[in-house]
Amino acid sequence: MTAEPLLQVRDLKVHFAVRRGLLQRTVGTIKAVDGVSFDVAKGTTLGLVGESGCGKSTTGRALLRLVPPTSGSVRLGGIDLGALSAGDLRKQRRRMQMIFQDPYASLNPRMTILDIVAEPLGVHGLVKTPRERLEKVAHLMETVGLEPSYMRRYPHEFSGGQRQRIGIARAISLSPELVIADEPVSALDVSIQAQIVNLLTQLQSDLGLTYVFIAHDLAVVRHLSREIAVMYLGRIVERAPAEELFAHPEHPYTQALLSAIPIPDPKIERKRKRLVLVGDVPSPLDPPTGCHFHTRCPYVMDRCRVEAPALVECGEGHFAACHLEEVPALEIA
Amino acid sequence: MALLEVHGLKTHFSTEEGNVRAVDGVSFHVERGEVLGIVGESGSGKSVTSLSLLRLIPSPPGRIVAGEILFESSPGKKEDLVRVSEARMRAVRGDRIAMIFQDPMTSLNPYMHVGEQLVEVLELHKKMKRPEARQKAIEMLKAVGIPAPQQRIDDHPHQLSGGMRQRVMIAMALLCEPDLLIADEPTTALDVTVQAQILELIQDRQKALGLGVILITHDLGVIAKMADRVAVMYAGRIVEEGPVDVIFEDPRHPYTIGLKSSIPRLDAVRGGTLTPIPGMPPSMARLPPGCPFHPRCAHAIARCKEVYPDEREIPAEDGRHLVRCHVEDLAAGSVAS
Repeated sequence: MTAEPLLQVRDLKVHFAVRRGLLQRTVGTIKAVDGVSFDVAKGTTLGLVGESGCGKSTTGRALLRLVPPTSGSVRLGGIDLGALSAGDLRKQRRRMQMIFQDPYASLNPRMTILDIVAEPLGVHGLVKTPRERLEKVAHLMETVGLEPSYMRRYPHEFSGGQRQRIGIARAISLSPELVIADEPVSALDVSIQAQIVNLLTQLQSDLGLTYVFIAHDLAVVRHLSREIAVMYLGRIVERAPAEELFAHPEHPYTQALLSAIPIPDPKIERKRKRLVLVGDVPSPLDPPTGCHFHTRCPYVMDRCRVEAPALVECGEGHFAACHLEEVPALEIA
Repeated sequence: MALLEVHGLKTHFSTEEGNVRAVDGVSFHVERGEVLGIVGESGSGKSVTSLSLLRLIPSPPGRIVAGEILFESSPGKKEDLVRVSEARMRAVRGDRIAMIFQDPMTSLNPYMHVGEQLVEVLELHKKMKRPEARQKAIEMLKAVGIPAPQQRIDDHPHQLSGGMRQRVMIAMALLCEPDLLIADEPTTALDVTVQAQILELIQDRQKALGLGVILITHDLGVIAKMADRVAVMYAGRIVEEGPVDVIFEDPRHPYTIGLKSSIPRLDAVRGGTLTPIPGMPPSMARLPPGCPFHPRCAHAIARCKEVYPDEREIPAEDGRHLVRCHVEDLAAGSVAS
């Protein structure tokens, strides 16, 4: 990579204090994100995957400072967002926007589509006249595949897929450089998911957007991402170019995750070998010592219980955090 | 004789928007020891179908208006569940036909220990005494892979993880050794590594007990892994049905073909665009005339807008392959464009 990446994240941590009782004493800390680092080059997509509680959504929110990071740095185009004053941060927010999972909960039911999509434009003073506002919104609606004449309607008059398009129109209204998409298709019906995935791909190439795509569905993530980071209990356990990650998963958790996903082909399913994990993801309130994955890892060694492995490069651009010298290879299909 | 035969089932709801024909003439059967997968999107009627089988449709507004549900409750004896008394239905439910739901948190009683909930089933259906029932419940928790069942049996549901709760639901469903298990999106609320465990558990129990299973899901991957036969539902009817290999390799209904080409695959080459199905599922209160899929179908002909297609059988090597589509020469390759 020659140019400086658009997004640089270094050792990002987000810890939440857990308070109990009448005096609200701190009884513990949830390390939702615990030292996460990655770069995203301009115009590309980083997929952030993992199961519930792994910290992928919190990471996404911390990038935009929707939750305050405990430590670490986030640089957008070289600017350290943590060092900015509130006013300067607000100006930078134009450059980064978010698309949420639930298109039912993320749109104000009392606002028309016009008002929803135009709100960020007004906040940032980007439209001067009502006419300009109408034109801009109409253009945005066309861009995301919505009929502009629907702009005076309310969110409840639209289907889930259309609402997600509204959310996308709002997100791109400020011509951002970075878009964080947090499970943008997981609430949608299968036949609609592909429409939204294609729209996101189209917008990326038309507008040069950079995505951090957060999802639990690895097939969708693979389809969209250049690079993928796999998270487990607040840490990245493996990061690699998408093709490489699927061809040669190095971390036992990545292997288990890939082999757990059923492939829509009965002949392949019948002869697939699986690495089935035992147990559930442990509570982030009390994560296992050493490598967080050791309680479920089929290859666990003594060292794993006491020492957390560092993320080290094991191939070109391929990083994994595992003490094992060699993890037995696993073909996913 | 099949374990379950459903003929022409219609379940309608009267709503403010009019009569909603959520299930509108559905026929299928399930053999002992067989997994029938029912696929469909939200609103396709797959869950209403399963609730109708157990007569759990809230009435009003819902009502089974036509059809029969023939269930072989003991060898050679068929009962039409649409017509049996409510008392008889209560005896069948949970005993001969059991059901597991998507969200175990809302289907377990939060105030009761899981043990009590299991014991209650045995007391009710098997007239067991408490100590014996408790022993049987512990055995069943062990069989579904709950560690330390002697201790866990006295836990409340909230003390268990999502995966463990779904295991409890499965244990409860299997307590009375039912003939038929209906699983409605049993793993949708779970993480994938836990989903894999639960699917293997269902498969293992199904094989061990020779259960008939109706597995309802929107996930074609889950269907490919689990099902012997598949029924695809759209707008209240089964539009295609056949053995799992046939449905995946030689689908004939444009909707089935469209579903297949719209999902990204884990083992596919990256890049390229997906081929989505255009438009969106219709409102069940205002179904288009003719074939309800025609507004989204690239192959629709004039007749599709007027007449609902009859069932047509397509020659298949193993088992019956049925499709409801007017366009006869559709094959998998021809719809990709």
